[in-house]
Amino acid sequence: MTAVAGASPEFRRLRIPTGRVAAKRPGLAATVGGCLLALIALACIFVPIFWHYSAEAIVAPALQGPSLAHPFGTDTVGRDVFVRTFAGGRVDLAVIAIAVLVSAAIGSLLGVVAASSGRWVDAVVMRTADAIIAFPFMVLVLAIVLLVGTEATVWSLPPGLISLLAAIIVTDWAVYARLARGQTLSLRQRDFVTAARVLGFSSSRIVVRHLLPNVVSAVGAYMVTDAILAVVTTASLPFLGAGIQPPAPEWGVIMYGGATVLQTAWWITLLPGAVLAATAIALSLLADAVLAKIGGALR
Amino acid sequence: MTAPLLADLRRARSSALLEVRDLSVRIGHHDVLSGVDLSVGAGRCLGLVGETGSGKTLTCRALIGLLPRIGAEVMRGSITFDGRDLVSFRQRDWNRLRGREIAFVPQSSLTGLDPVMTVGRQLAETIRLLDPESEVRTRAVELLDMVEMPNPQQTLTRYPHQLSGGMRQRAMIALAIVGRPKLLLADEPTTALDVTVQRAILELLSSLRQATHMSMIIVTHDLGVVETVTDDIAIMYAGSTIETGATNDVLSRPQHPYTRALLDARPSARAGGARLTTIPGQPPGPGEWADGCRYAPRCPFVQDRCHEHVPQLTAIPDGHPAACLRQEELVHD
Amino acid sequence: MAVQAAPAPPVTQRPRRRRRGVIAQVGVRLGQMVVVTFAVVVITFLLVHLVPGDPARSILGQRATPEAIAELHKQLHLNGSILTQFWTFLQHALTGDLGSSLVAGSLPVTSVVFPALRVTLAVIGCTAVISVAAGLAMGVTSGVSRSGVVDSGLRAIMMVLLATPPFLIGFLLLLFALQTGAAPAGGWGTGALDDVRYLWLPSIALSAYLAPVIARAARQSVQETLGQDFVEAAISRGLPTRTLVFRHVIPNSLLPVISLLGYNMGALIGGAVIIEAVFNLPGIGSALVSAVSARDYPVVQGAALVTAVLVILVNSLSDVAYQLADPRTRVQS
Repeated sequence: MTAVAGASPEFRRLRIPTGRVAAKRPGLAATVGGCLLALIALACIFVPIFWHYSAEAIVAPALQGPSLAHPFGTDTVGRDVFVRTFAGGRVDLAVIAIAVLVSAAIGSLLGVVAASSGRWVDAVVMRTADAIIAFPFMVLVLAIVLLVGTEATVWSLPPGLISLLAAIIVTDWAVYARLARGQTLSLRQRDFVTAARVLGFSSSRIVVRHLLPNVVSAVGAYMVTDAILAVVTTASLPFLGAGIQPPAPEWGVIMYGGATVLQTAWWITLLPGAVLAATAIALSLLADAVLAKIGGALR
Repeated sequence: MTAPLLADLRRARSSALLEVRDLSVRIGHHDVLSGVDLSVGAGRCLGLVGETGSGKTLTCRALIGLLPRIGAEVMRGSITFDGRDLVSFRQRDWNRLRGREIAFVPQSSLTGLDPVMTVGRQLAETIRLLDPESEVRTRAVELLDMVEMPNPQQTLTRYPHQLSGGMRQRAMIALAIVGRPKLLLADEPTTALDVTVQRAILELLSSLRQATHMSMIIVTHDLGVVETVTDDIAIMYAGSTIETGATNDVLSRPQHPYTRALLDARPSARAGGARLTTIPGQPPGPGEWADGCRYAPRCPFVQDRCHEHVPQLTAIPDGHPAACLRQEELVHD
Repeated sequence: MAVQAAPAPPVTQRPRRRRRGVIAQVGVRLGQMVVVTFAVVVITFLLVHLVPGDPARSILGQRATPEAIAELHKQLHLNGSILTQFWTFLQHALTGDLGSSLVAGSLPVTSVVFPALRVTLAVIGCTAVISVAAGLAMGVTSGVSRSGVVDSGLRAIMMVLLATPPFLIGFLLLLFALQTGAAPAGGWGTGALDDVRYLWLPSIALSAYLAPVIARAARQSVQETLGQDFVEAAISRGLPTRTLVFRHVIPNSLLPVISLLGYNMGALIGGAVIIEAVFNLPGIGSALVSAVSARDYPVVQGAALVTAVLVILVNSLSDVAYQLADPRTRVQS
């Protein structure tokens, strides 16, 4: 059965401006999100350098509420939560950046390879990806942390960092592989690629000029969304005894440190939590803007 | 005091069921309709003709109160239906009018049925709303009979995707006439159908009109449709009506150069292997309208003054209303 | 049944691909399910065998006696070639034997995992109910609302909820429970009815993730439905807004929303793992966490395998249910 909708073109064209409010202004969302993220990143770089306390030092009585001297109060042993939050942010932001970039690189490469190779390579890569996606993310991450062990460390990195990165990357590449494969396959069938091939352009030229930019923009859009997942995972794992190990400052570690005294000393958990939420919101604004900008091109 | 009132009453009685005067509609910063004049007499059928983008569908939307849905608003002009001014209507007034007095079969009526509800339930819902006195099932079957639906009983239990295009169009018409409207708007009723089905649907509309005495507006870009079923015609170009009159009159003695060009562009106008003529250029979209006559940039008879004055719909002696500064000279060519 | 497209106006929707029979589709889906499940079993098996060094040594520590290590090798089926080991693992898994826990008095893994899974599923079920109710309410309101303020406000709430990590919301709720005594601050009840007392707060925390996802989807789905022709047709039949929304818009927008529940099973189990830790619930997350800290490989393997298979099952079921529920894809009677 062939259904034909001949909707009036003037209707379709003129309906677009009445659409989503934020999508109308992706520029604003991007600016707000970008500024917020930049602010947090700058604070993470400079606060630990210039603040009059260090992240590890015990500087005051324990469990003091927020004050001018200690804007985020002090923790259960008397460390300054403010400086610990931003020192910890360095770890969280670094984990997001590394985990997302490496997963995206590995995943896209495998996805493009799967799409351009024969049936068997494609089947093996993609069924592996399917299976990895089938595992609940958190469950697989925990299992991998167990395998790698939280003690392993190099170059005096915080213990737990290696297992955390390994766990995220092993779990996360699969989504990128699916995305890159889908883009490659759909592009192969589009007219301009066929046209380029008919015109006799070499495959490498087609890959560089046409495939790569499209795959990169699709993958790039997902990376922003994925960064939210990465930061939430990183900060969640300390609750489960995995992830970055105390006493190294990290958002999850700091927050977990205050969990037992939540009722009396809420600031230890909730103020770093607010910074974490702000980071996630900034990323989510950016993701919305990116999707609004290139969303149309992807469909 | 009495005399003018009586006069008013008399005029209202003698005048048309629907009267549109100088209707102008705007979406955002663009005029999309400007200077639409129509009138539909009781029991008559008007063909609203124009190219895609000329504002036919938008005019229909204005008549059934669907403009706010697409962010459009009436800037000027009047729509008088059965003595009431539709421009001043509010949501509640519209809900009372729609379906009961003016009914609408939208353009893409193939997707005009709710896909997850059977035809019977959609009919029942509409009957309960518009014709609550009747026995729902009997009335539903009667309506499907009226639109000459094959197997009405069976069709009630069918989902829209199980019906053919022609059957879905019939179902849409059945839904539209539940409330015994005085005016039926049919937007491109035959566009998406097979040629044979097109003819059957047109015959159905004609016979329904005879049986129910309702007035109709049929929107189309197909002059063949106009010729077979309509009494009157209104030609639209770039958001305004440029020629109106009795169908035979307008088709046999077109006064506007655009109407002439339309007629010449019909495949049937090609006689003895003559080449099919086309109108050079494209109709202007909203925001692209020229000053003066909007057809001037494509008009072979254009003069300097055409770019300065917006021609109004005016009748010439022994003619019908058209909006062309040179209609009197041209009609005698 | 073919409906021919007319030359004008431009066709905006390509003809839908002819649908395969529902049975065939379900068959293909089941085939995919089996393949992915097999891949999941392989990965679960490899979890232990890809560990650098000897898993037995890493469990028992460097000072373990050779006898103890040999004993553990036997218990974990680490003898023989990797293919024989896999064959043993597969055979056991197929017969429902996931090995025995290395701690907890060597209980079978299944008796550790399944009781815990019951708690997690209770949390997830409760979450689904709360999220569908709240998400639909938010999404439909925001989708139907023509007011920019309602829409932007709800969008902002959704974004903040989506961007706030579930454990943070868990802590806020825990703080609330501690302050007001409205719910026990964690733990698990003694019977089905008692459990509900412990259930609702964690479920709300988890809903903070799921409800916005559903709200977003509902909003988009409602807006898409509202733009469709059958809605326009229903409005022009005079259907009041409430009838339109409840009888046409919501039923048409529901399927993609409900299917989201299935697709979010994995994320929900992942979220439940964290929420269980916050509220100290004896679910699969707590089982997993204690297994990880005790290096109880078989339980970790078992929990991963069981949850992954559950996710696959739920995804496939929601796919199949989608096919069966949508009348557009139902076989013709």
